[in-house]
Amino acid sequence: MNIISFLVTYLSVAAVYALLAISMNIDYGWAGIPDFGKAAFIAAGGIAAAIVATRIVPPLMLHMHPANPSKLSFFTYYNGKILPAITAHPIDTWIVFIISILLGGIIAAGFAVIFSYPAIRLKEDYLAIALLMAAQIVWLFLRVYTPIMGGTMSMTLPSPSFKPIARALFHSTSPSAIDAAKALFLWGLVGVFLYYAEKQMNSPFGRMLRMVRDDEYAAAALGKNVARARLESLIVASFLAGVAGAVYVLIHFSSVNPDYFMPDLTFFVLTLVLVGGVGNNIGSIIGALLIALLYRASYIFGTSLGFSWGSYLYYMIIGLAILITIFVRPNGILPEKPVRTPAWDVYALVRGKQPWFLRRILMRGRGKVNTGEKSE
Amino acid sequence: MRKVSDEVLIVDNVHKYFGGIRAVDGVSLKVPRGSIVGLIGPNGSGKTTLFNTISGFYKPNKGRIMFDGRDITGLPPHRIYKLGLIRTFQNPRVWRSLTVFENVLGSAKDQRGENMLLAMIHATWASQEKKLAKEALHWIDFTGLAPVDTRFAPEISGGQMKLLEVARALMGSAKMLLLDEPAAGVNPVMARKLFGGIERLRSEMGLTFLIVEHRLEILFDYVDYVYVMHRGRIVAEGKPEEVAENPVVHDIYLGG
Amino acid sequence: MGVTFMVYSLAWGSALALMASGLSLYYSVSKVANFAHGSYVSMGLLAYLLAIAFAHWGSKITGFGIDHYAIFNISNLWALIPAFLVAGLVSLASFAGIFWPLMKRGATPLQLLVASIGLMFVLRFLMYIVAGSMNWITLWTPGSTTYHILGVRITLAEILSFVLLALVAGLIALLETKTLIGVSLRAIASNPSLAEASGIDSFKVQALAWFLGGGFAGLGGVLMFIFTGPPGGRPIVELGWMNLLSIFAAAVLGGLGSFYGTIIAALILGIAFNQAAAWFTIYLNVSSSLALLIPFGITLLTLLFFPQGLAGINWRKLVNKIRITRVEEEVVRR
Repeated sequence: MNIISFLVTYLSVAAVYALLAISMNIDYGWAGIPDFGKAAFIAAGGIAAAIVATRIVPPLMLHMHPANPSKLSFFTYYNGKILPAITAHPIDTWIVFIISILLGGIIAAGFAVIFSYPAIRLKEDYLAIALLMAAQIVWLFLRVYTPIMGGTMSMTLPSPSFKPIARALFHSTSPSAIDAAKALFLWGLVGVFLYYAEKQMNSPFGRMLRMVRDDEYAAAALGKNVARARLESLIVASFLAGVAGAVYVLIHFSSVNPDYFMPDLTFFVLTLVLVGGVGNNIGSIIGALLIALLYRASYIFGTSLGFSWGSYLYYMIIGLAILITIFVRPNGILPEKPVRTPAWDVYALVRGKQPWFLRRILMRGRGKVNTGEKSE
Repeated sequence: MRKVSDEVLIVDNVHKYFGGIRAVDGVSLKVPRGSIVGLIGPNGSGKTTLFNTISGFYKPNKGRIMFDGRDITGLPPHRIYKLGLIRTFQNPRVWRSLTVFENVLGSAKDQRGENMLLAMIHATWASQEKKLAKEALHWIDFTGLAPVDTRFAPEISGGQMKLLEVARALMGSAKMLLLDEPAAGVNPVMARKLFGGIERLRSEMGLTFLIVEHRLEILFDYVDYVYVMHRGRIVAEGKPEEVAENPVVHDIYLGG
Repeated sequence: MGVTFMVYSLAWGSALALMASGLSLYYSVSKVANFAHGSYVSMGLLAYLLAIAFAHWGSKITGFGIDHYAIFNISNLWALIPAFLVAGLVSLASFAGIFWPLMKRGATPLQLLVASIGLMFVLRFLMYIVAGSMNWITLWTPGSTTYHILGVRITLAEILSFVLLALVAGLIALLETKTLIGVSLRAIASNPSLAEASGIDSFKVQALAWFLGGGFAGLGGVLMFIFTGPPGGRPIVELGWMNLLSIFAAAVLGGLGSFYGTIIAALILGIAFNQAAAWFTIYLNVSSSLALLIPFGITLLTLLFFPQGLAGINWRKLVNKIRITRVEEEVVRR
């Protein structure tokens, strides 16, 4: 394996982690909700992808009977007929992808409303455990109830085809060109997520979430509906988690299995946010890049040791990453930034000076800016 | 038709129990519009519990609370805030990850950008945000917080936090403020300045105040009327000079 | 089914009660929702197996060979002592080394919770090294000596889980009423700042709670392994993790931090889970693991109405209400 192909695979993996981390950063980082049900919201994307591939796209695009999963021959029918028919046309694979990410987001947002109804008013500890239990219920249900995604047998999914993109960009359809196109596409998606999260959060809405997180009593006394704010942040974050979940199964695995959504996944994503920077969207991406590297390196190193426990070395790495972060930098590598809204422009206009922490950000194209002392 | 009465806040026979403890045991009081009313009493007499009940953090077991001609008994805190009754806390509660400026700005009423969907559409809330920013700067200047307005809230002094809480309440377009020990931990000069500001707000904007305070020597110079609470009940009331001479009040404060 | 199965369900519930009451014990004083608690459970099990392996050093004790020796009988009971001690000491060490320093720095409950997740991963890896070196990554459950008493089939492990639970409950009751440190424990649980102000050594008292709490988890781990083994043929190290949610369900249902509330909740959940599992496999023909829906469902529903769990219900008021309505009914009848 040469260094380029390692880098390309690593970057695709890190991009998928970054998508998950940005979603976790909204409810855990901005709103301070211990969202330990994240695995279930990600699973919503998997559920959506499975439903779209087996039941929605075949009759819609291929004029085929939707598979009847209760029959024993479901897998034979799906693997033998539907899957080749979809993968035969790149366009169809992309239609599956687009419907899946939309449906995944919607299902996840629905889950958020249902799960949080009993939980949203609870204290932190109770809320964390209640959401974790809800995620466990979803996982158990998916394992046992086969008609959704075939139970514990992995179901192959039509991954969107990157051949046309590779041909357009690199004039080649070699495996490495396709991998590069995939990595580029995934980082483009990370860009979209980042743009959305920054835009959604640098607003009075984002400011309200921080108020609720910092002090819910003060927030309630000054007119914020705390339960509603928490619910809304959970809906926003879960929508992103559902979209990321569909990407996770369709592009990362190109298959789906309930065991991809075990509650361990939640803690993994939590580590990305914690290490990168709680409440900082770019920090989540940095956390994903860093942990993906550590994870991969420790896996390769661990298995090369030749001990039966070597393949579990990544537990140690993740655990130590969490503990070191909590002790050394409790809020992660990148610190949280103030909420940026047009109010700061007014501030600069009225006071005639920029606040010291925004000077660099707002300097661009704003003409004269006082280079005064640290605002005192 | 809403009945507009002279009393902006009417607390009518309110009871609040915790298990067997009667923290507030049948309190009735009236606060006339545009007045400054003091509420005093030793520690544990139920003043803060009464504040929490009026501002919606506790639901009373019995009794009624009227504000500005409306029944607000049992409404959640954020609804009571919308009607214009805003409280401060005994130990200042500030939002620690926000600057002083944002602390004040974020307390404004009816911000369009707080809607989950509208937040994405910049144009719907940007102009309102700018207007509110000007107002926030006005209240920051009014409370004398201008030198520290870009500091993060936990970095300012205890006295400044008290002022910040008042500035937030003013930003929420309050009609009436419930102040819980505004002068605690503030030096006497600054405390007198604070009460001077309260008087100015009353005369210029017609705001009403209900103030819990332990430092009677300062409080009595500014209030119109005083209620004295002890063991969950109102035991005395009257003009400050009357209350100061009331033997019951002396017994409470000396006898515990 | 019948009596034998009921006894089994209750014994399973008792093992869960041992594990969950340990969590409740230190939660009441330290307020840490500790996700590493499952690791103490597995630590106890590993210590039990290692102790037996050392006793039979030289025989075939690696891999499945241990099954032959680790069977739960009278002559192996002593190995519960290292199980208790090792789990207790690991718990104590994690309190003194991680949670106490963090608490002194003013960490939020959420930060403590996240730190416990990190600790859980580290401990899990350390256990994998031990289990992997002994070739014990996966094992069958070795079973237990069986007796027939009055026609009821009962195993030693079942008897012992009742005995141990009774002992633990008695021990805590004695501690809390007769000793100074036990009284301090209750004082810190009800008002930490006041307790500290009145000169109680908070660290010592909390350390005791953590040691006992971890030890109880270790005992419960051995029993749970004898009853079920790790579900689904997962590695034995995962025993604690697989049961962690049931532990939390019991602790939350009992009202986090209420020791006796947790024991009662665990017994209720034990019966509910096992009866549901049997019912699911026999009548619905679905995997018994889905039966976990029942204890989780019960817990979530209870939280919906009583956010503080069973301990938060005002039982006297509830009983009074029922009594009053009865009296009223009688009045109406007359």
